[in-house]
Amino acid sequence: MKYRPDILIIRDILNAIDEEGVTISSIVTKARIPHDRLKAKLDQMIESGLVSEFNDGERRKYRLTKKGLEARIKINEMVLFLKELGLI
Amino acid sequence: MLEVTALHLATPLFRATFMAILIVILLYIAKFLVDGYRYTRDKALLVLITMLLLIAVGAAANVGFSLYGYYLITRLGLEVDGLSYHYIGNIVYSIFQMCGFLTVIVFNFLSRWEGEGMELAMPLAMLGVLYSVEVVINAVVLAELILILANVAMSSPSRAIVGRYMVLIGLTLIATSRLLSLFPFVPVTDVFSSMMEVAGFSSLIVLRQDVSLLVKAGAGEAIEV
Repeated sequence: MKYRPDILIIRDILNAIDEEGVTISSIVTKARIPHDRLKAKLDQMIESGLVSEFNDGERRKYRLTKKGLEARIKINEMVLFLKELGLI
Repeated sequence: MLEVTALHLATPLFRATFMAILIVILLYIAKFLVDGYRYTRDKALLVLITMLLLIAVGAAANVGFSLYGYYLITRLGLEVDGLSYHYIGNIVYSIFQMCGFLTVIVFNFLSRWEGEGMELAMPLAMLGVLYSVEVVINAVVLAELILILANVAMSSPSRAIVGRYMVLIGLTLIATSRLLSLFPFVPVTDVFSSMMEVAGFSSLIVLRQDVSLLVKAGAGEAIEV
């Protein structure tokens, strides 16, 4: 499998989460990342204020904060920028 | 024998002006990348930021040397000393640019594997020595640019077509500037190479705007890398 740089992992995680809230298994599928690795990344994102977690009935969900939405736009721009320069 | 003409004496101020514009462009792009680095800590971004800052530091040194050279020429009438400082500035800039491009090439290679009292009172022959040093450095930078240009041309394109072509044109312009700089003592080439450096690096601004428009239009998220 081709190596995926950190910036692409973070982009895929941010793109897999919306403002309404999604479950961790949904993020695992959309971002194509193992559960344990995703949990570590999500904890970092919660700590830096990009993602917040909440309980929706019995289920634990994750949603993007305002800062997370801004970060998603910036990171998507960054990925295209690096791709055109042949760096990823 | 090298001969100093009136056009030679005007080049330091011209160079300093264009290098100052270049610094603004480089810092604008660096700031855009720093914003992204804060979220991702990605190595590719760090490498690009390092490259841009190295070139900006070189350009700042070029501004300083060229302005001091211009001061020596116009205020103190020390034409040869003034020109020498200007060419030292050009060389310092080229060295920083060489190191900046080298950083990107090495990263790319690895990732594929996984005042008055300071008058020099130089003899005219010193300009000849500076000329030779600059020619060698410019040849190295030119070779590096060709490698980077080939890497960009061979990378699979995204939808940022305008930005991509502008970067290809920009890198070609910088390479042409380096080609002209192989004849550094010709004042016209000095002047043109300064403008080409600025025009070449401006292509990064076009790419930055292009990717921004694409992402805002919702196309960025759909692009697989």
